[in-house]
Amino acid sequence: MPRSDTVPPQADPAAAQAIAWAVRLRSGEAGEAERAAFRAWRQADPRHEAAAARLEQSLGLFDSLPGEAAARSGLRRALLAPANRRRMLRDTLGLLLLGAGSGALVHRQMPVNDLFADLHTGTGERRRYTLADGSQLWLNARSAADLAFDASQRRLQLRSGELIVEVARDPARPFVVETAEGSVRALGTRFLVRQEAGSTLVAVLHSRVALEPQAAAGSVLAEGASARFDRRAVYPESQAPRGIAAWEDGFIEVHDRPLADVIAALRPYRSGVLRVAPEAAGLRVTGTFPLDDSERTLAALAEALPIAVRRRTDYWVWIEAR
Amino acid sequence: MSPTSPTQPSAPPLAELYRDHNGWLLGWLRRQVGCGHAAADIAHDTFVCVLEKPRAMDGVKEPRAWLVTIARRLVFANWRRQDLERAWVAELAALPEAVAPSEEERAIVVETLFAIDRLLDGLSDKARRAFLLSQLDGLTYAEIAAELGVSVSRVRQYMTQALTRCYAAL
Repeated sequence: MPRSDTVPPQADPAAAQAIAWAVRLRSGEAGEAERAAFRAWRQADPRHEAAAARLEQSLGLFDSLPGEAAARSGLRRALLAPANRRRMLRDTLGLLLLGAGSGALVHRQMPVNDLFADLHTGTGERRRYTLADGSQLWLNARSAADLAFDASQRRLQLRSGELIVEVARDPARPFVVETAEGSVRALGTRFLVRQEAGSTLVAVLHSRVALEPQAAAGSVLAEGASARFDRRAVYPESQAPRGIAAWEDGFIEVHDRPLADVIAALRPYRSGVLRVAPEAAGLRVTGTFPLDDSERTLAALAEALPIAVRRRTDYWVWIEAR
Repeated sequence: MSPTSPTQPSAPPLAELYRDHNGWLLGWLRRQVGCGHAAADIAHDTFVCVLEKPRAMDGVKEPRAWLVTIARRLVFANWRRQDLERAWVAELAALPEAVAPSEEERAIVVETLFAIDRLLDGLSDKARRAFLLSQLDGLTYAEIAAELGVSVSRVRQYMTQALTRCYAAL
């Protein structure tokens, strides 16, 4: 079931501007001049007026809620209360027993009804799964993993791409992610694993993990650290795990990284070819860019760096040094 | 023209579907939600969904599997609504001068929370938090950034994502 996180309003300039105005006016820093400018924009074109009115109408939903400050905070907490985990598990069981049609998975989380399953995502698609043991799994775009849970262990084979897992506690059954170069064993709760060409990148978001390259002694990676390993050795990495994991929220976040890294992160979100000329690949980039609107990201990079984005078609794009 | 109705061409008409499967669906739902009243409500809503989209019925070979597909969606929604209601009731109890709202007021709030929840469905947790801190608590972006441990420009991006969803939802 392909699901896109992007929605069409960006394609409509009046809608995009109405949204941009709303974002600006809510910042807490907008003054009277800005409000007047908004009113002028709104009156300048009936399409502007229509777009602004539509957004207001949609947000009018909030008007039927109690207005006292204490109540508003309570409402927020109620909305952020997590879904009841027990029910999620019960439903997982229900799916297993029934085995009927698909298309029933409308919740934000996707329960995985099987102890052996092939999980995969397409171009531009991120997915969150709830596994049979209650663990949460996020799969980045163009990624694939095989699940193999049994009575003694929980194994997840990352075949390509990248995942973040939040492991449910089960002291009797270790949770292990396997890659082409070795395995990553959970000692705590939350970490990221990326299969790269010839190596595996691991970032620990919470607690610790044990890295076990196929032909070398294992080592432990602590919270807030990241590392790469191949079959023979582990190499420390300087990137912050939170930045590496930003795709979970739909962003690329880099601090002084080569342009080639940003482009590599963008590729699973685009169809066709996206190349960087060697002279441009090493340029350093710092910033946060949206993954779901890769055209905007390319435009932002072209503004910030001495590069030119050239294209033969939308499916053949290359980046050169200017 | 005589007012006699022409013969209905559509495959399993609703009445037949209801007669043949309502009892079975009710039994299935009762096992899912463990409450007779809720099961009956959801079974009813399932048939209302069918009624609203009669065309979708064409070509359905396994009516029970199809009904369960619709019903399960409603079961999910029902659970989510219950979660929201429970969370809100717990919040109400903790409010300083608990002005006990009437049953009706409470129902409106729960329905509104449910609608907002669906509106924001699919946003990342941080984007939801950022948007709700702005919309409900009235925090500035600088305050939200500090609360979430992210940059102000990231907060702006979260707000854009959330407002885009609001815009598209209508």
